[in-house]
Amino acid sequence: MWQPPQSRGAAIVFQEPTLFPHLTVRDNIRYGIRHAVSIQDQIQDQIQDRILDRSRIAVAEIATMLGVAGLENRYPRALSGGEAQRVELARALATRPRLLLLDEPFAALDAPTRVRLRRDVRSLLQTTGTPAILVTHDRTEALAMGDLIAVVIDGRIRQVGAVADVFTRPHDAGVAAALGVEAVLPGRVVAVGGGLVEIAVGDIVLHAAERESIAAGADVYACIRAEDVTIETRSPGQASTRNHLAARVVAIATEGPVDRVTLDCGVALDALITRRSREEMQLSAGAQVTAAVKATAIHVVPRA
Amino acid sequence: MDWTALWLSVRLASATSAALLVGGVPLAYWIVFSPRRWKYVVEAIVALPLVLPPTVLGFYVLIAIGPLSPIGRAYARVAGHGLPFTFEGLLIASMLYSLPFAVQPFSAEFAAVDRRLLEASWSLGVSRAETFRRIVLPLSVRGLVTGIVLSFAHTLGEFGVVLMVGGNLPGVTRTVSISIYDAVQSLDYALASRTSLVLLVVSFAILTAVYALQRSVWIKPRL
Repeated sequence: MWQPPQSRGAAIVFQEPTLFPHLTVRDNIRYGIRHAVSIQDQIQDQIQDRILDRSRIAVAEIATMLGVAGLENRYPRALSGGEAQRVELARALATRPRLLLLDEPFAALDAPTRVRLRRDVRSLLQTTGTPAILVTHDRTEALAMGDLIAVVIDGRIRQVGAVADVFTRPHDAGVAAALGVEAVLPGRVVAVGGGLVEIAVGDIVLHAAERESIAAGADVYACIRAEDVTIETRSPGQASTRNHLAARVVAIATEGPVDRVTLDCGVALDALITRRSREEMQLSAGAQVTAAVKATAIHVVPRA
Repeated sequence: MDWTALWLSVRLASATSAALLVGGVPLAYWIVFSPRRWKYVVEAIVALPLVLPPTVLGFYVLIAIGPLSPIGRAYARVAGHGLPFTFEGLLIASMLYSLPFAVQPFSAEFAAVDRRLLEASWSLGVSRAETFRRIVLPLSVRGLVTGIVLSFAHTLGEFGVVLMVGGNLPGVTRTVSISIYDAVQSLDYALASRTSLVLLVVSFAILTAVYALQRSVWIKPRL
């Protein structure tokens, strides 16, 4: 089923901005709207004026939402990479697309700009109710921006599902390798202070090191790699590890030289331990243990 | 100084440039954007006047518009007179003669427009024709001006084709280059040198303008 690009209602934003160099920011944003106006050319002037007026308001509105208000009279060559990408998004959203295709739109930007833009774009997509498909190689970006994720390896979709599900339970080794195996636990920040972020995940509370500023109440993913989870059978004395969770061993599986111990500590968590440790602790399914995770080993990804 | 001949040449060159702008833009567009595989044949035909001796081109044009061809007969029936040895006949010959000087700069500039800009425009719901008008043309101003100016200058200097198709009728087909040839034939070197000098200065000025344009002295380059 082939449709010409004009009638697909799908706007695209690429990695490199494709702003029209001979038009100002305003005319770039208005580019797709003005077309809608020209269709109405035959209708009497009054109506056309109103449409033009609306397009002017729409440009101002969308420029404000994307934080490029005040740049309307500039030409694309006078914009920074981040500004250009914002204008690009504004131009795409101004046409009220039925679908927005984002092809690694933040890949060419510096890290702070990327993080800011991710947050702005996600909230904008939510307020405008625009469905979007984001192509990315950046797993943090997939976590921060995505609701559903499809893992594509060698041109084939290997797994589709909610972001946290797919990250936590990859179908096969290929998907696991592509994503990096770790538990992705959806939670909410309940307190911030003293360099620590307190995150409520289900019934438990995790303490994570505060790497980027984050506000209480924010929705986040707490990501924990199985390598970073240690298992203790006795209550330890004073230790630097911040998180100690009462856990029950659900299953033990051998993965080459190490064992993967699946734990239930209110949330599902895997631990990778050596076979020697497992034998010394005499672990078996059903055993009550303590799972320990250092605060610095918890990777907090804000849901943009 | 043969002002009549110079004025005729300027009129002929202006008409040729204008006609080539109207006809050359669609042709260049087709050459650049058509998916047809055999378009290289068309490109070769467009470039033919660059290598063909003007007498050969002129000969074929003369035959094609003459009373023996259907085109020539049809024109004669409508206009009441034939095409050879008229201004209109010269215009047709000049358009063919200068075709590559207009179409090649046009198509080179069209092809240089970043394809992603076109795709971006299409995905914003803008038709191909609109995209051409609003994106490709504005970004190709330099190529358009270059093509017009070059075909103007080239027509101004044509000799062989004019001689074959137009002959030598004062005010009708005696262009400036033929006027110079006549002056030399009749050993009027003073007249020949004055007319030649004018043509030299004009040609130099035009080419200077074209190269200044290429260096973006007046029109800003795109990024």
